[in-house]
Amino acid sequence: MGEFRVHRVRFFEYQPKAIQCIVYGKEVNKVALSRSDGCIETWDLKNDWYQDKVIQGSESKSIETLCWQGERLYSAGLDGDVVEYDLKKLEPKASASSNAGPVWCLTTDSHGKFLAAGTEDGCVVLFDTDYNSLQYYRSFDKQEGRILSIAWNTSLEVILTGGVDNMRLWSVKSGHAVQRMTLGRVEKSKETIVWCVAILSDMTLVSGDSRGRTIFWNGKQGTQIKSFQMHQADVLCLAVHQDEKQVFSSGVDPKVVQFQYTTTSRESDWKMWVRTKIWYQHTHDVRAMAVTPTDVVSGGVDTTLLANRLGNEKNKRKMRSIPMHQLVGVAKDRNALLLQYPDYLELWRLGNTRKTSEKDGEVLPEEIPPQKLIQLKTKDGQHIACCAISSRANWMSYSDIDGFKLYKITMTDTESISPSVDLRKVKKGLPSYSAHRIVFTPDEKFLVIATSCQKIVVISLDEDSVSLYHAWDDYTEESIHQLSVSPNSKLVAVADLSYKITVLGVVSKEVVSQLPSYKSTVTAMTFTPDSRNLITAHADQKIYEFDVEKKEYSDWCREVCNKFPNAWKKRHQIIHHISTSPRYPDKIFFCDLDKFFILDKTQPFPSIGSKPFNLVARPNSSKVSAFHVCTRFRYLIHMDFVNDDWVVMVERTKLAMMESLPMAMQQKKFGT
Amino acid sequence: MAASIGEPVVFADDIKDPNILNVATCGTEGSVIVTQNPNLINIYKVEDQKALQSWSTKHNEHITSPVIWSEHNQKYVTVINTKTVKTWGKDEQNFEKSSTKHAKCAINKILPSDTTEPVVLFNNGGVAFLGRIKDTQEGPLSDKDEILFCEFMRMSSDLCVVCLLNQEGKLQLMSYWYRNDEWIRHTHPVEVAPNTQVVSCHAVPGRNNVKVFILCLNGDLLCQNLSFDQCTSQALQTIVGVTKTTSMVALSSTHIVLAGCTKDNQDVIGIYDVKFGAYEVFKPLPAAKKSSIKLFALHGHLFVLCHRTLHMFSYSCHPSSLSSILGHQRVDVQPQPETPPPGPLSWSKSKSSSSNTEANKLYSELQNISMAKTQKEFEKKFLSIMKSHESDATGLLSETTTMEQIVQRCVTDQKFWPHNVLDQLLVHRLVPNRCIKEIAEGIIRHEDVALLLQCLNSVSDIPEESLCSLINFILGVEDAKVAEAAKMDGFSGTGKSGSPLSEAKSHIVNKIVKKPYNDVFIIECLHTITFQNVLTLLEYLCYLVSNLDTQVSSMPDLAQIVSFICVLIDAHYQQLVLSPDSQEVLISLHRTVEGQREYFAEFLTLDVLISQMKRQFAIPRPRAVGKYCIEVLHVY
Repeated sequence: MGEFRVHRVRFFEYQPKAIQCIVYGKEVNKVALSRSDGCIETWDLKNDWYQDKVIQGSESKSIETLCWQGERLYSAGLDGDVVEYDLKKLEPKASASSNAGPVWCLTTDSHGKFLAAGTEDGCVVLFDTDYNSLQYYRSFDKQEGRILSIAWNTSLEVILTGGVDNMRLWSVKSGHAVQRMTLGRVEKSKETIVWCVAILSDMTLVSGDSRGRTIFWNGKQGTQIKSFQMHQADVLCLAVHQDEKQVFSSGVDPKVVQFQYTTTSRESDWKMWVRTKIWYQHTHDVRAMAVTPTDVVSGGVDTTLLANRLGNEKNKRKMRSIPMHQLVGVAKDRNALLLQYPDYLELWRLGNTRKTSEKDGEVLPEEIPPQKLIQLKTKDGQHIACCAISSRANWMSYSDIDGFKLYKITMTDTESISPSVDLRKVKKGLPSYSAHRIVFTPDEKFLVIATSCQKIVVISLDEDSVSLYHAWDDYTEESIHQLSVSPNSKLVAVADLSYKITVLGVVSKEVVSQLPSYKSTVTAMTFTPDSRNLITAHADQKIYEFDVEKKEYSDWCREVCNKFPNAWKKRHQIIHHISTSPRYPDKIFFCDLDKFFILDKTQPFPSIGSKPFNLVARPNSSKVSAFHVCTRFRYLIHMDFVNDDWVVMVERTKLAMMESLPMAMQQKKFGT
Repeated sequence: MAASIGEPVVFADDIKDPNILNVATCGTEGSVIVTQNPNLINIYKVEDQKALQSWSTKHNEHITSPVIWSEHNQKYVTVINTKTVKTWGKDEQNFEKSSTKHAKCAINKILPSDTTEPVVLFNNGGVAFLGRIKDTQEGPLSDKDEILFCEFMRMSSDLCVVCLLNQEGKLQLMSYWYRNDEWIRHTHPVEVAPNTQVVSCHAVPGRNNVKVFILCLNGDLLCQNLSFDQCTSQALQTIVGVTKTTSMVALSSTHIVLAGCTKDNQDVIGIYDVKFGAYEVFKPLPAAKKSSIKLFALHGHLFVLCHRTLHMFSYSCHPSSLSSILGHQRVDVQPQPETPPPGPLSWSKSKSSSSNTEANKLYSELQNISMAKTQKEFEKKFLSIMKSHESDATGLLSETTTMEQIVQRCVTDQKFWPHNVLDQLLVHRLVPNRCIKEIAEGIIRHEDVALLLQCLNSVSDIPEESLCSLINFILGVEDAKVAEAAKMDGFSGTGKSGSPLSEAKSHIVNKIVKKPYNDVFIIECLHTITFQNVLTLLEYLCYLVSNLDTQVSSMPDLAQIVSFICVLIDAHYQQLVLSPDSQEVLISLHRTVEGQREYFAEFLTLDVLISQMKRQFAIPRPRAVGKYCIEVLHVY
């Protein structure tokens, strides 16, 4: 089927950060989460948990709380500001100060007109968000001690806050506390901190505290209904299902506990809160949880986002913690690799050998070892949004929130032990956009940028000068998340989150073709080696091939597009890289997190009802299948062809990522 | 260290009558008063053993009760000629000027008291304070009765005189308790083992009672716990090595000093822990024990009369702990020579069978030289024992002490050499390991090659010293003798020639070389082999290295041969280097070793090839991937 020599790269030491907050936006059907480095990710549930947007943060910025209000996303943190984000430009849009110190928690009213923030100074601060504004409205009476958790019941016009040793119920109208509930202490000198609170429509209050207790309260009378000591350490997060019959709690001991409001006997209608399920899936503290209509979503220090299907224990999803957008660039003609870390870039020369072998899995001796050529840090530690390297590694470019940067690289003696590398920043002739995606044409004559303001800009690259060649100003309304240039350097395919895919002529400055609208996000795309066809992989696991010249799907595509087996479509892993090779024109190469696939266009598809284990062709088997798989590589971040038979596989193993995590809570396990 | 005894110092010399000798506290601090002879009293300073003062009696005056210092009267008191009590002051130089009192009854001893007048014990067993000796005293004792020991004890509230009597052939413990201005007498019988006698006695006061320690000749140490109301008896320990001359002083309720006991074949003085039953410390007595020994403990010093000389030892004694006593404890009591051997032992709960009883008898007969004088008789008796225990020979006869004694008898008896008996014992593995050395000596003495073979076949652990002497013996013995013995052992020659030793001899030497040994110990022992034998052995071992035949069962393996060559060369290195006789052997050995080295070096190459081959055919294991590698990938 295919014989390759693989650069198996494990020196990309990207370390994802701990998840701090998770919120579910019902209106957008998305989950937003923030990480400890201040970046925000949104995961589209409509497109099978596709990570569609990443708003870059910085180390100095902390996000303590996130809040969806309709389609608007807010965050607040230790700087005391509530920030609203532009989810198209993927940058902050507006901010308002709490005037009461750091903000620990944020919530919204159900009408979407106000935000309420709990602050360090002990104030509940209201923000007016009506008419797309964000401004300080008023603050309630000041209480002693910080407010660490907050919940709003709009119909009852009360806000519930949790702090140190107590919870308070505030009247939104008057701004005064109407109820105060005190929690006991385990030790006299040790405060009980209420880390999380929730309020239900029947005025049942729920709290999770530092004693490990999840308590249900009667909010009208301020009395405890039931207290569960389900956790061995602090309960850090609570989540309430929209039907208000299920509550979930989790915390430092990394188990997720489900409580249900249910009858305890068949004869009686008497309902009470009972503990029903426990999930043990996280390895470290669970910092945040959210409940979608079908799943309970949790994340924490172990950086992984987990979604457990409610009512079906076996159905769980583990989302990859490394961003789905391209973090690795390959300079195919120079055998070089560009690695994107949060605030710096590394350019590596890959190793080389003239030897080959007929034996699968054999490690070939390196004649030239890999070597780091460049490490380029961003200014002020700004996080990098995207980067690219040209095919002969003469140009390198990246973009952070401040704008887009271009560098000219001069390399000599690249095959020697100490190649000389010169890096020169290009300042003149560049537009001051920040970019979402960047790509160089293979002939190194043009640079195509998808800007944060949804423009497509083509920059002409010359040895002496750089200039703006062309720009499609009002190309789209949504964020552009995929760019791909044809091997002949004439075409660029652009995909955005509104499912729009367009092929533009780089040189001709015209719209060559627009693909038929397909309601599934493109997760990866590439041109065939002859630049005639564009291959797209979608979030629903389907792969399409579009004939750019004929402006229609290719014959092969039309033949197979309805033949994708059901078992294939149910796969959880997203195809994040797709590639073609001139040596194998009939094959499409693609990968997800733990598998490398080859789709042979000459082979028939398995039947629609095929079982998962019958999907792929197996050695020494008479069954033929278009799908061929290699499971040797795990935790694949990137896959691409370098030369004819050379492939780069960049892996980042789970074990390597776990090594730099802090210690988890020690728990006695059987047999240890 | 819980106890210590210092070096002995001669305190006083020329002591004529050990019976009257007494060392007592003196009016002057740091000094003792010694009633040295029946007519001589001296005061010595303990520190430098200097005589400070001296008194002597007239020609016809003999001291019958040793001098004591009365703290109450601040006077010295003694008894002359049993009835005359002499008292004198500290500064009185002339003994003649001492005041005299006459008692009506004969006085046995005057006993000192700190708080009251001295107490007088009369020969008839009566007791009175010194001031009342003129009164007629009646006592329970007759002339035949004997006072073995007496002591005045002062407890917290009581005054008591303790006497150990031999009254009408029975031991009695008599005590006088001073209550309501009169002496109340109690008598308790003391039970000791029959056929023994009291050797020494001493008492120590407790809070309300007196502990009287009685040491018997058979080693029993009894403790009489005497109070006003009752007297309980307790057998504390059995001390080994008690003789008639042994003397004992109790230092406390847990420690006693024993002088004149035999330990490790010498007479010793030692502090004995009664609780743990072990000497905490002991020292040999300074002079040979020729007459009775007297012992006193005073002012942190022990005073020991040993053959007319009074020696002084400083000592210290503290309460014992288990850690301090560890290692001192007696492990095994040597059986008394007169006691019969324990005989066959059995774990069976049922009564010993008649065969056992018979065996007991036979054992004692075997041991007793007079009962089995000749080899024939000895072997006959032995074989009858074997016969009586045919079914359980090893089980019944494995009592080590018994076997040791039988083997000792076999080996040490100059009159005969019971080859068959020893052979049987070796075959049945009944010979204790510590006797192997003596058997080896016997084999060499009697040139018994057959028994040597049996010994090598049966005994796995032969001492290094014996191994060396056996090598020396076998290399020197005649070939014909060896061949005959080897033939009996079932060895038939292989017919090979070229060996420096005869086949039979090589057979035995091989067996010796195969025996386990310790490198360090055997090097010392190998010095005993004569140089000629060393050369022969080295030549033979060199021959073995190059002509190793693994088919022969008696052949040692190469490692054993090489290590024996190593120890042999180590032991005789200088001689081998210097002597011209050894040049040839050494050159031959060098050549052989070099050949071997080259031979084994080739194995290394072979090892690499084999491991490569193994790797090729092994099931591939999941490979640990480093940071980067170039791999071949085939996708089906």
